[in-house]
Amino acid sequence: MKQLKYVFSDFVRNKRVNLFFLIQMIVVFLLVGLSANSIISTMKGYRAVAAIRNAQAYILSDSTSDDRFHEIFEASDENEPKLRELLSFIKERNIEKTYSQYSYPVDQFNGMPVFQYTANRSFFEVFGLTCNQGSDFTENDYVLGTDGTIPIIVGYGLRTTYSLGETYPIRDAGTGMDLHCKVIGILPRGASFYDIHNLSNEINLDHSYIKPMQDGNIESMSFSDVDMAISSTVFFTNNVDEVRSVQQKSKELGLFDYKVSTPQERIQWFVEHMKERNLFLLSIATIIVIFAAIGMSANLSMIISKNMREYSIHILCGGRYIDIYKRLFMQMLILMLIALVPTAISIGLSTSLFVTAIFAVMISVAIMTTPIIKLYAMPINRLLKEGI
Amino acid sequence: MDIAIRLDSVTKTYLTGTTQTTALNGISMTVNRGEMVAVMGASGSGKTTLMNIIGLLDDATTGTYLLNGKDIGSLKDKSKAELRNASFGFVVQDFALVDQYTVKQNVELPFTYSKLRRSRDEKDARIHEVLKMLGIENKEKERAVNLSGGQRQRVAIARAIICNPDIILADEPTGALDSVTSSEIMDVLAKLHSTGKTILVVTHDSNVAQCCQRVITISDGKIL
Repeated sequence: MKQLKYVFSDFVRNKRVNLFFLIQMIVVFLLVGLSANSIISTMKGYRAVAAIRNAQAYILSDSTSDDRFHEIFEASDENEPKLRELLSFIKERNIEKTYSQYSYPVDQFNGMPVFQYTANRSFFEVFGLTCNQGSDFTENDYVLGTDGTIPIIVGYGLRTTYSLGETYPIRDAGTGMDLHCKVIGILPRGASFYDIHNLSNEINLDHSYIKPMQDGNIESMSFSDVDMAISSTVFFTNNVDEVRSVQQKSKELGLFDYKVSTPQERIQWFVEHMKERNLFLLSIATIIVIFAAIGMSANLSMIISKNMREYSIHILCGGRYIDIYKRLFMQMLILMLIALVPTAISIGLSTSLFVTAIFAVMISVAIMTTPIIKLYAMPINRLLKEGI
Repeated sequence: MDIAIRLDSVTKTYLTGTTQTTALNGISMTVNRGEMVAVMGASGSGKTTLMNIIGLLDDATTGTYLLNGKDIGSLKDKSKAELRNASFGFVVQDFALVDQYTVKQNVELPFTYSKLRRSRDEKDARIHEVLKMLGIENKEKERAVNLSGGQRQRVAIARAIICNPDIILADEPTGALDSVTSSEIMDVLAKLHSTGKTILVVTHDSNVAQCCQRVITISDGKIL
């Protein structure tokens, strides 16, 4: 720790070189952090949707042309009842179970957007979501009640805004209707799920509340509600004909053109797409890292050259090479920790940050190797000759 | 008389590419405790190499070096660094100060590597004592770069004696100073000698050598 004061004094004296060094590190760590985050998130997402991936299931991919899509939306008043009919048709099919959810941003809480989710039974089952305070939704909660109170489950971040057991007036984001919602459960901190269409996006539920998609409530759903509910549906069934009948029904009603596919196909497509993207990112990162490492190594050599006189004087006063190494190491460590801050802010305290930190240590050791070997190979008398 | 430094048949050779250069060729000498000795010689005669070996900044290729009766050849780097810190004070021609450090920061540098634990107050008191002795106590907070040559050499001497070493090694201590300042600096060294310090002065200035009790002359790596 004796060397720490000299490290800080060096930062003050050689601001420009150290700042340049720091910027190089920030760029490299950000790039590595983002790449690692993308890869790890995709892997996590891939694992998280195992319940969908491993099941016999189907999804309806929207293949409606843009023009047709606009026509349907422009005539939403006319098409709204048809969409409801399609949703009712889905519910009437002999399908083992369906997974469906949709959401709206509704508010801000401490600068974070608050989302209102509406989800059916399988949402919780597929992602293993369960409350750690209060209770999960029961079968009855998915049935439209008579007292007009809707049970909701809130994310951890909203637990003080929406207290367990209390009822709150909430305006439904989809329909604009005023609802009375009773908080029946609170999710644990960091509860999340993945969209099968974008596995790299972990959707955190800390600032969300979830209401059940209630049977018999189709009439009060808005056009967007029904559209999102249908397009997010995953059909868990062995009978593909039941799913094709939905596709056919949509066509008959003059609604969207759906293509029946499996979630596995969709997930596989996404994984392949992410592989290509991550490979591209990693290739760029590798090139930048190589150049940056050379640059940083040269920069470190420059710092050592600039400080050679000071090091010599320290040795004259009883210091050793090991003290210089300690000092350089501390200097690198401090710069490295500062350089990791932007990455930590952008990707959060996560496995990706840990991976980036390990990378940071490895690259720091790598860039320190050449200058330190050079220094080590220099006898003290030569160091003094060059320094003093 | 106690022998502080004893060299027996010390040689130092350097290999530059395929060429072998002999800087010291069988040097044998002794310096008694409390003695003030000048080492004279032309440029390239081996004076600085000799000083570096004595000051544990370089190793002899062959021969024996006894410091206070102890064989230095068998010591590890750590022990040598500790000895460098505790037993030697170095004063060099260009002062060897860190320009951006204050006088106090320069002077207290040997404390960083000292094995002796001192409190902040003890360090401050010692720094003040030494600076006062050298007449630069009012310069404590000045940056070294802002001082005159004479003042800088006084700071270097202050740093050399801060840990109260037995031996002061001065390599051309007046080489960068005018005659008046040189004389002042030699007076300081003489004063230190009078307190019992062993002082070795490398110089090619006969006026400086005259201030010493004994003169050793080196030529081509040999003592004449």
